[in-house]
Amino acid sequence: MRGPDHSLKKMGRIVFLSVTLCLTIATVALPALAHGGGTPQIVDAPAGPYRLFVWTSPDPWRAEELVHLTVAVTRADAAGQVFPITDAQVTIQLVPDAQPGQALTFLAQPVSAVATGFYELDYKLPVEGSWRIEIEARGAEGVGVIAFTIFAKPAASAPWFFWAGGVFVAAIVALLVLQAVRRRAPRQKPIEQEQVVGRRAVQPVSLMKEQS
Amino acid sequence: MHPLLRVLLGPWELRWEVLLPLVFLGSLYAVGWMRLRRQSKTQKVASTWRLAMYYLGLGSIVLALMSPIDWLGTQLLTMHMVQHKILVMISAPLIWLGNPYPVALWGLPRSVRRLVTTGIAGPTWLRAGLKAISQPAICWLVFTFTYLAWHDAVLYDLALRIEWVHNLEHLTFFLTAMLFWWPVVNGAPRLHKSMPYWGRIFFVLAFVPPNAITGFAIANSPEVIYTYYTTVPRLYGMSALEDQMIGGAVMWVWSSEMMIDVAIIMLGAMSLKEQKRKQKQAEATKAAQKSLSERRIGQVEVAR
Repeated sequence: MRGPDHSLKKMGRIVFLSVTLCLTIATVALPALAHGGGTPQIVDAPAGPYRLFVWTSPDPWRAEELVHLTVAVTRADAAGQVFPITDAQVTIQLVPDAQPGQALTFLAQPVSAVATGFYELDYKLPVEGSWRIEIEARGAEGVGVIAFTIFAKPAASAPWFFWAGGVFVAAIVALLVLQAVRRRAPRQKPIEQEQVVGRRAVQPVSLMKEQS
Repeated sequence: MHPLLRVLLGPWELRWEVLLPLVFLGSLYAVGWMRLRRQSKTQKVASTWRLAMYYLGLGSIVLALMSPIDWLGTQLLTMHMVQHKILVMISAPLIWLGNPYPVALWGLPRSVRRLVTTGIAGPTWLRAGLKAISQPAICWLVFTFTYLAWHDAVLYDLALRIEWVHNLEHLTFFLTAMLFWWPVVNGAPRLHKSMPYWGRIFFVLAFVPPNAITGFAIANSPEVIYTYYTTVPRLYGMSALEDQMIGGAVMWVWSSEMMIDVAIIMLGAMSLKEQKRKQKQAEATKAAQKSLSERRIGQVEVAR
């Protein structure tokens, strides 16, 4: 017959699997968090022949973390109708205010899911401090340039939010499994049964036999 | 082609954090369904229509979170409302109709299945917790409060600006919707006495006024409530205010209509049940009369 040891081993395996699953999902989910939405930095600003929109995430930026920039390049006709520019070349330059000579230049990629004039860039920010972001949109109609400044905070010690969430979920699962296993484990009979007679003191059965 | 339609027909986004749990749940259900079908093909627990409902439910989640609807939700309030309606009004009830608990349970290895059964059927914290939160009044209140609270301008804008808040919004919408539809569909595990049909009708219709008032207020607001939408390019031929008007109407009409439809279905089920009960009663009376008359004939013959 399988004893409580077997159940405990099994429980350990289940807890291990649950924790692994939670952490895997949390890890896989991290890069995906950078997509969509964001804090608006530039809204409908004229830049050459175009009108640009820029969003950044996360909020705030932190050193040694993946930061995300989304740029929308549009053009309005005489009637005010807005059109997306889907074939623009969008260059993003990140210039640290402390070291202007060490500017980083990237080509933003069109957002893969939709061809609507949205371009994006993911980059792991190397240092904290003030950053000047210069965006250049180049297309058939001409070139438009725009810039803004953003402040990056020092690196966080650990992504505590996700770890804490994972640990919390794992703890709940472990508690539930523990409780279920404890209820299933068969109770072992004690070697010496104790008898209680009225309100008198308790005596082991074997001792009582010897006395008699 | 209209730009909105062009985007809607565009490629889908691969989101592992959505896909992985759905694949896991889908596989569990498939294994359980096959195991149950191997035992008997005529049973009600794992029927073909339940399988279809379950996968349609999972598919609708994929549609809401991985199709261009998700991207468009950050550009148009209308599409964001459509996304939320899919999650709470389509995915949740369809999944319940698939009878997920007993079927997925059979998809688990025997040892884990026993653990889960013990956890839910035995006197455990899990059962106590589930029993407490699955009381119909609690289900209704939790869903309605969560649903309305997320439509607050500050929270809604926050969800659009910060991705994890957005994910949390969708997760709470879906989970509380599952809670809401639990007593309506009367899905397993059944921890309370089943609600009578009239109770279910009242339950779903009680959601109509708060939803309709909120949707009506959004649709008729003279200014843009969710200001995030004023910061995005208007690429689809409607202003932020027009978009808000349509989005509010989607919320108001779609949810209300859905609830009324469910109430009508419940009414139909109630009358069908009543009809069956009356039919059974009539048959029983007929049989009793027949046996009584036969007994009388027998008595007369004995007397002769």
